[in-house]
Amino acid sequence: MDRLQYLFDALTPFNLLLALAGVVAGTVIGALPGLSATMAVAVLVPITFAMEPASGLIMLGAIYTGAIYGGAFAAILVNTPGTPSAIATTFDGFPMAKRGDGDLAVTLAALASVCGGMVGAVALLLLAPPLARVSLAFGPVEYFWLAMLGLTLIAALSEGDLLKGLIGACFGLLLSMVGVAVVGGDVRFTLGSPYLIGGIEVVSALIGLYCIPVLLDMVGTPEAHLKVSTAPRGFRLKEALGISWRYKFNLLRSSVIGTFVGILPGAGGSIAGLVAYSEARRSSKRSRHFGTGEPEGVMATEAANNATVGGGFIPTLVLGIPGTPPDAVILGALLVQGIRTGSSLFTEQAAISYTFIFGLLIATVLMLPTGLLIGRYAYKSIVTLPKAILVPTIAFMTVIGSYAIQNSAVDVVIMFVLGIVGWVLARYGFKPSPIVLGLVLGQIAEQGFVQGWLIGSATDNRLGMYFGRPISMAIIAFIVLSLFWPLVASRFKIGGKTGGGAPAPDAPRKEKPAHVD
Amino acid sequence: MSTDTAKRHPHDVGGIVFGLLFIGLGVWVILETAGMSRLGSVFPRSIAGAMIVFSTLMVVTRLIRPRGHETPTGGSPRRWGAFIAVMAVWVLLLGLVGFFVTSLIAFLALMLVAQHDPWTPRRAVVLTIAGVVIVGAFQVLFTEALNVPLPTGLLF
Repeated sequence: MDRLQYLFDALTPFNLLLALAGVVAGTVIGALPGLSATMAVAVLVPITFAMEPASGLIMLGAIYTGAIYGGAFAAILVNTPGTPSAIATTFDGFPMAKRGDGDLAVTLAALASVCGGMVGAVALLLLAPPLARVSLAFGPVEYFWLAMLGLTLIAALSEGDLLKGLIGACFGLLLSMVGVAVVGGDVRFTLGSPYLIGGIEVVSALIGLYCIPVLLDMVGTPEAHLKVSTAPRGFRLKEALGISWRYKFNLLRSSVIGTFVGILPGAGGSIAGLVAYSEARRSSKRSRHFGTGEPEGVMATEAANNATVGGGFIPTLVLGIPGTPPDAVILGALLVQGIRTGSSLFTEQAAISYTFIFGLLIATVLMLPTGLLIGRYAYKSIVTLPKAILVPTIAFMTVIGSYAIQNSAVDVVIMFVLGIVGWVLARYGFKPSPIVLGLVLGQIAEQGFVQGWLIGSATDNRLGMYFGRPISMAIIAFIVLSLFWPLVASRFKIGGKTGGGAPAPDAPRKEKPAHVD
Repeated sequence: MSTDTAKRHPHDVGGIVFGLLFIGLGVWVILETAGMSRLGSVFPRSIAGAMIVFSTLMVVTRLIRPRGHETPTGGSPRRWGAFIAVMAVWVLLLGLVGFFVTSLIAFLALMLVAQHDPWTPRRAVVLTIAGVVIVGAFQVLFTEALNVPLPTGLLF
C-alpha cells in the first residue's frame, strides 16, 4: 500500500515535469557527439540541490537515462556515437540509415532503450530493498573493503592501464583527505590555506574532472561539420514494434546483461553495449548480417546501455558504491543533500528511494515519445549546434553550478584547477573515473579503515579485523580476482574482443579519446 | 566534438614522469602526517604507501620493458592556452567584479576561442544575442528560482 502511495508521489505534476525536462535535456546533451551522459549529469546536478531529494533524484535519473538514449541518434544518423555507450550502435545503425532505414533504426533504438531501461529499473525496485537488508551485516571494515573493491574494479574495467587506474584511485583518495579529518579532527594537506580547511567539495570537483577536459578537447579541434546521412522521414512505429516482438529474447537478454554490467562498479553503458552486441551476434541466426545494418545489433546495444541505468543504481543506493560513472556524480549529489545510502534509505527514507525508482520508471516511459519527436523534428538542429555556442554554455554551467553548491567562489577555483589537472593526467593515460571514485568514496573508506584499526588495536587483533571476517574475505577475494583477471583471462584465452569485430563497413568516427559514459 | 587522433609513442615517458611525481606526492603525504594524531594519519599513510608502491611498479616495469603509449594529437595549443586563460581570469574575478558581468564577458571570449570557422556578420549577431540570453536566463534561474545569491561584486 505504501508503495502505491510512492507511485502517486512520483506522479505529481511537478515530478512528471522534472522527469520530462530531464529526459529532454539528457537526450539533447547525449545526442551531441563528444558530450557524455556523465557530463550531462555533472553539469546539471547543481540545479537539483534546491529540490526535494526525491524530485532531484528523479530529474538526475531522467537526465542520465535520456543521455544514454540520446547517444543513439548520432550513432545511427551520423556514424558518430553521441556517448561512448552507443559505440556498438554505429555498427548496424549507420548502415541502416545509409540504406534509408534511419527512421526505423531510431524507433527501434527508442523501443529497445525503453525496454532496457524498464528491466533495469524493475531490477532496482525488486533487488535493492532485500540487498539493503543484507547490507546490515556489513561493518566498518566491510565498507572499507567494498570501497577498495569499487576502486579496483573501476581501475580494472575502465579503459586504460590497470596500474594507472590504481594510482588515479589513490590520488582521488588523497584528494578526499584534504581538510579536517573525518576521524581525529586533524587539519590535513591544506598547504596552509584557510580556503582548503573545508576540504574539496565533491560535486564541484567532479564537475571539473568530467567537464573541463571535454571543453578543452572541443576548443582544441575544428568543427566536425557532421552531416546527417538521411533525415528521419517518419516513425515506422508499427514496423519497429513487429521487429521488437520478433527479437524479444534478444531484447530481454541484452537488458539483463546491461543490468548486471551496471551493477559492477565502474562498468558502464559502453561495456554493456559491446558485451550485449557480441552476445546477440553470437546467438543470432543472422549473425553474418551483423555489421551490415541488422536491427538486432541496434536493439541489443540500446537495450543493454539503458539497462545499466537501473542496474548501476543498485550498488549506489544499497552500498554507496557507484555502479557507473554517472552514478558517482549522483552519489556526490546525495552526499550534498545529506542522504545516507544503505538500508535506512529503504526503511526510514523509503519515501525518497521508492518515489525516485517509480520516477525513473516514468522517465523511461517518457523517453519513447520525447525521443521519437526529437529524432524526427529537432535532431538536425541539435547536431549542427556550433561549438561557439556549446563551449561557452557548458563552461558557464560548470562555473555557475560549482558556485551554487555552497555559494562559494573557492569551489569554482577548485573545480577549474582539478579540471586542468584531470585533462593533463588523462592525456597521459590517467583516466578521470578512478580519481572521481576515490574522491567520492574517500570518507567512507577512511571511516571504515580507521574504525577497524581502532577495534583491531583494542582487541589486539588488527590483522584478524581486516582479513579474518567472512564477508571481508569474500570481498578481498573479488578484489584479487579483479586485479588478476586480465592475466587469468589471457592465460586461458577467456573472452576475446568484446566488440564483436564486425564494425560497419564505414567505421564510426572516433570523436575523441574515449571518455566515460 | 573534437576529432583528436592518437599518436603511438614507443616509450611511455609521460607515464614515467607522472609515476615519479606521484612517488614524490606519496613521500610528501607521509612526511606531512608526522605531525598528526595516529587516528588522522593512519589512512593517509596507508594510501600514500600504496600509491608509492603502484607508481614504483609502473616506473620500473616501463623502464625494464618499454611499453608504448598513445597520446592524443591534433589539438591547438593556442586555443587551449586561450581557453585556460579566459577561464582562469573568470573564476578569479567573478567574486570581485560581479558574476553577471564576468560571465557575459567570458561567454563572449569563449565564443571567439571556440569558433574555428570564419565569422560572418549574421553569425556574430545571432551568437552574441544567444550568449546574452543564455547568461541572463541562467542568472535569473539561479537567483530567483533556486535562491542562489550570485556575487554582485563591484559591478553586477
